[in-house]
Amino acid sequence: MSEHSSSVDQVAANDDLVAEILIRLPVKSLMQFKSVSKRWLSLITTPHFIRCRNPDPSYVSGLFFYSSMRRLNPELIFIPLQNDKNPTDNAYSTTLTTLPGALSISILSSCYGLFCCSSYSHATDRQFHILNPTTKQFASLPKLQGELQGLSLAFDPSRSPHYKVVCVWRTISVLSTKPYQSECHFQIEIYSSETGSWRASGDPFTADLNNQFLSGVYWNNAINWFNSSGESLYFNVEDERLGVMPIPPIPPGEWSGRQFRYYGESRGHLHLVEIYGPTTQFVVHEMERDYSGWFVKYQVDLHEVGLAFPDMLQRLSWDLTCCSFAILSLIRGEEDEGSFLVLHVPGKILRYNLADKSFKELRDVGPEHCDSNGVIEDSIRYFWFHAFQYIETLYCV
Amino acid sequence: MASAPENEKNASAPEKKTLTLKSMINNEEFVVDEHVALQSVTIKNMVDSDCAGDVIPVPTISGEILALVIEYCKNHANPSASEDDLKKADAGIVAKDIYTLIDLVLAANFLDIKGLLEVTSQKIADSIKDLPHQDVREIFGVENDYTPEEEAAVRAEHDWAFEGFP
Repeated sequence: MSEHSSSVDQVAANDDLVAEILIRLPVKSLMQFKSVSKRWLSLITTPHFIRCRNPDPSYVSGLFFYSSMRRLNPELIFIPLQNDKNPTDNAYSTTLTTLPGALSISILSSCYGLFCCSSYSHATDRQFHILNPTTKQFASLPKLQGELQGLSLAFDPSRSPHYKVVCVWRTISVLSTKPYQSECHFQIEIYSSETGSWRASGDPFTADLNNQFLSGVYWNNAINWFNSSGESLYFNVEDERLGVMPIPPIPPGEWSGRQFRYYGESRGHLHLVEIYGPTTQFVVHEMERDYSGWFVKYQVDLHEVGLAFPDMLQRLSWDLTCCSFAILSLIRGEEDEGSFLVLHVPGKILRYNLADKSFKELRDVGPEHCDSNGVIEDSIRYFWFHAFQYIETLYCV
Repeated sequence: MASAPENEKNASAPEKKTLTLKSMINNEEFVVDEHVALQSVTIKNMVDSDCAGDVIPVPTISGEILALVIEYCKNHANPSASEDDLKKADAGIVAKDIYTLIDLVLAANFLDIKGLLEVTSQKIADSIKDLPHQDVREIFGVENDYTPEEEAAVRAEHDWAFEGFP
């Protein structure tokens, strides 16, 4: 061994060479090898190393989702979406992490590989955490006071290795000058991982009582809240400014209100799907970067899918204006040919290629599902608002 | 015309230059076609800047390792080799013990041969990925600069990664 010792020393002293080797290791080994030495730990955790290991920050390698029909402890399902070079890296993703004392944990939103989660335990009220499902690290956010309306994660590694959390809460009612209008006062607070604390952003603002701040979508460095009745607002995280986002008009003659069937971000694009009536045809809208309006990105007709899975052409038992399918996610490829939808039809999860319109089964989910209490869930029970893109990343939380 | 190919051959013959690489560890010499050796950016820079004499001395790389490097360069200089052939040949070259691989990765780094650096690094990663971190520390001769408390804390943060390890 001694004849090799000089080579070993030369390699060990060369950070670039050590990084060249470490960058090819699966996540599990990397996490273990943080224990080799302080130098290796710092090599593995530099932003440069993290960027080099996963150079495409928008590469979605899987989808986590759970049933929207159950309130308590729904089973979290993971499906891999790419033929990854390290298949073992996905295998461990089935358990998110272990939060000490937590009875249940649910994901609120996902953003470039980080998840915003909430947990319940015997000892404490609802607590919020930022979680990295790749490294299974989590950070618990400091407690919040007030009537919480929603919590959204803002993280874009191409802008900063730090993340922010935007929280909206309803302030104590003050006498409205127009009491006949159902207006409410809201306050935005921002948590920054750089400072580790919450602070109020601006003054309370008035908005319609119907405003939803539950699951904002992070896009264009802003949290975007889609609202089915009334204005849809966005909050720019950088200059801390509120704005109104335009929404396509409801087609004439539709009296049942707005029918959001999907909205979400992928590769820097904001998408919106509304479907009116029991049809397999729909349009995917994409938002202009300056919020000037929506343009038609894809015209989709799932007729062929319907021929292969005729159950999806049935109306939903609880909403006769809809066919039995749901869009779980829209994922854009680096090139346009790589863009696809993840669809849920009765009993199946499918991948539908938006360019060549081909589709394939990803997984069985059972035509109907009977939970432990004997409650039968509907054949369509997974939706985009409970589906979260998994992007492998080593960023620390 | 029978003499035409003959002429071409003669005309191209002086083009096919060779270089001699000499390991400074055991003075072993290797005569290689220039276009094979030029896959090394380091050698290419020397030739381009006229720094290369008839014999190019290669410090710190043994003849055994230099032979592997030249084998790699020959394979990849062959324009008729298919991607599959190259993959198989690469796998053969890096089917070595960890210490030979460490010598080889250093040589690839010194001679600046990107492809060889990549396959060798990948092979080293594959060889160590399932080893306990203590073994990895030993292989790379890394001094453990953690206090026992610090090491326990780093480990606790990623307990799941140690499943099945002592």
